[in-house]
Amino acid sequence: MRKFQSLFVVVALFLVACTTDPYKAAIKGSSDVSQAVSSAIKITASYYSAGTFNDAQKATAAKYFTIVTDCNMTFRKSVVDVHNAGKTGVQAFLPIADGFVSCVKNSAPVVSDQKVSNVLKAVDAAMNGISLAISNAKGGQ
Amino acid sequence: MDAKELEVLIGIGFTVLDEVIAMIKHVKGQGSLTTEQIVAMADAQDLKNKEDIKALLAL
Repeated sequence: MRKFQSLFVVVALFLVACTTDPYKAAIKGSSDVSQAVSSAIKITASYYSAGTFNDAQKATAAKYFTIVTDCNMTFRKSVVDVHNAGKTGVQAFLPIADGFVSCVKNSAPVVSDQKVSNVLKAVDAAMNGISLAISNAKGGQ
Repeated sequence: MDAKELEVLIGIGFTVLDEVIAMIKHVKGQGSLTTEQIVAMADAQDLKNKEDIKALLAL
């Protein structure tokens, strides 16, 4: 099962590697996080139905998904606002991406349970990869 | 491992594989979209995720 999850994380990392300009890179990264959360919700439901997750593990994962979704919506709105203000460079978007990661870290529950942590890895990978995608984007300084 | 455990494991394996395929389709689908269309798609996905989280908690 861990091999399947590793494949999931690799795909999530691949998502953030293909970009164009910094604005589009940030928006694509945000969209990838949304997709990763969607997939993680389904996997969590599957784990719970199979008895692999108990109520507490399910609740921890659900809280994490809620926080990531809220922070992601705020992140995307900020990215659009910066773009609409006429800013185009990598430096305009990197602090917002860092803010997204901080937003999640400051609010999310500490996940010490390895089983729960494994399910959240793809979401974390997509989220942490946004800064990398923006940095590697062409056409902006 | 008995038959029931194997059935559960296969079920979870299929779910994870389905989601890997969904993520690949997501990447391919974004290729032809404008940035504004991706914003709209992500907005819709986040709203759906919020509903799905409620459904997950209700299980």
